Amino acid sequence: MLDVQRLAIGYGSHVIGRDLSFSLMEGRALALLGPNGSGKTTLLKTVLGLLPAKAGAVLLNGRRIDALPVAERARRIAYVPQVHAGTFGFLTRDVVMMGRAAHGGILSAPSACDHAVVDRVIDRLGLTHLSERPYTLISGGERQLVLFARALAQEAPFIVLDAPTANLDFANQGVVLRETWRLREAGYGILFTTHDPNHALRWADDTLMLRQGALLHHGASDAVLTGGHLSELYGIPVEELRTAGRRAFLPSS
Amino acid sequence: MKPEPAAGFRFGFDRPLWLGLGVSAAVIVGGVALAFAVGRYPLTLTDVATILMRRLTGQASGLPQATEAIVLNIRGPRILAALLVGSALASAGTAFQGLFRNPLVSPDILGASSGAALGAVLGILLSLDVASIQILAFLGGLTAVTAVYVIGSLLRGGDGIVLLVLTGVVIGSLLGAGIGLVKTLADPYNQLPAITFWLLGSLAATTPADLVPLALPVLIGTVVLIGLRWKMNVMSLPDEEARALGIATGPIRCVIVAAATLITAASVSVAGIVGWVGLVTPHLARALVGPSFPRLLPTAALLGGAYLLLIDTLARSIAPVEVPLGVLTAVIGTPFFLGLLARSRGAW
Repeated sequence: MLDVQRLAIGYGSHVIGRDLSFSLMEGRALALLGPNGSGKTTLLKTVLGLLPAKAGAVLLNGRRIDALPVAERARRIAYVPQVHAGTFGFLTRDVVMMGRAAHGGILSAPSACDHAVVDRVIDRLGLTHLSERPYTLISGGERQLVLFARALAQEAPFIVLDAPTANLDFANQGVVLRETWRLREAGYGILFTTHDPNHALRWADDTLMLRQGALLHHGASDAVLTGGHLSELYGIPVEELRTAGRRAFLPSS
Repeated sequence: MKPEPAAGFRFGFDRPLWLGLGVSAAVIVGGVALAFAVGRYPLTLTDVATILMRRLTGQASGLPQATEAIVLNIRGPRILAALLVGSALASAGTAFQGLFRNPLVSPDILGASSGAALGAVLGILLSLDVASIQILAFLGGLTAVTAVYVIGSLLRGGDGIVLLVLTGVVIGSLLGAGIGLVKTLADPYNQLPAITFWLLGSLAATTPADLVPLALPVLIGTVVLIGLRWKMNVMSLPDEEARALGIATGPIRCVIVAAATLITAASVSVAGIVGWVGLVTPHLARALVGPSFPRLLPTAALLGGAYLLLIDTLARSIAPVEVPLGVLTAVIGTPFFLGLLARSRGAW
């Protein structure tokens, strides 16, 4: 279990959020919703142990994440960053292999086991046809899936995704979110940020609303995601649509 | 999700390591044969082979003493030095291009060359002997990079890598000012030509005694870099991403910088400033085996040696006087690089 207790987050001496408490079980998906600048990415990085906590603690199965060696941390919690083009045209397969970095010694070549894991996750995400292509020459949606595969190769029970649907077209957003949901069903604990409340409503068990570094609302997505709460979160009127037992939100004017 | 149209240019992204090593080794063999054969004093390859074989078995070659001296004391050491210096600059350049996530970076980005240059020109100004000049150059290179690294790490805020590079640029231009000062103080008839020649790079003065002080640091640094090649792909990612993948980026970066600086400083102290090799040869190696460091780094290490050997052979054969290496590498490197920029399309 990932347990965040009264966490304060920030850069350097600058604290941008405090008193953040929530937890995430394996096999559950948690969406993090909030306006630009609300501290979502800072929170993710602190949860991952990439930024030091300003107060409070992040516990992974009872152990403080900042007390874990960096390699051990990577074997317990994986990170899918926002899609980037990358500098070098590594083969897709080489990119996925980077997920195995924490599993071998600093001087050791990938083992047969590492190759087997990489083959398996590439196959699982349907990326076999891309595996011998340069990462720089595939589409944004494909790159996002390659970064998914890299995180899966870490074989960590928790996966943190920073805006997995940002910069993707409509179809690819669906592909990526369905994949996220599949990972949840396979037993991974998923934490992702999004700018679309409809994504949280459909693809997350729980939703956390972050405004100016403070938790505004937190609970089951169905209950937390209401027009009223979203208006409060983003400071604009929000229209709620209902059809055939489903709900969706639109920013209204 | 549709793949983008297949790229017309596949630039060797997936060729195996043995191919890169094989091609590089073949160029080295050809380059060595050519380098022995070319020169004012005519040598046949049979003579060279006889002398080298007999030397290994401890027998006398039975060939004229002048022939033997040319092979063992002049062309032989110069060939080895060219291979070592080229290999060192290529390995350091490859490692730095990955570390700084920038394919346009060369081994002197953190001031190794300018520090070594200041040490060497000071030695020339003080009329020291050749060995002392080399030691001063070596220490100058190490000191400059240490200073850059310490200052860059003390600066806070922003991206650590960017701060390190900017600190390197700033310190590098300060060292450049120091070199300028030494030039104005130097004796214009005696010292200034020596300084100019040194700053443009040359292997003309290589002696057998240079080889051990060159080979030792180069081999140590290269072994360290090649040992870390499996983690260099990850090191070329943004720092936070690399740490999330389980790599302690701080210590590894420090070791890579130290190893690359060691081999750069050792090379510069023997050959002077030879620009472009550390920038161009990683790209040649990338064209052969792609950007993945486990394949790229060993290939670049061999190919860099071959490249500088060919350049050096050219340098001592195309004109009645020796052409400085730095001039040739620039003349060849500029069009090569512009061509590379024109066809790279953002994929390295």
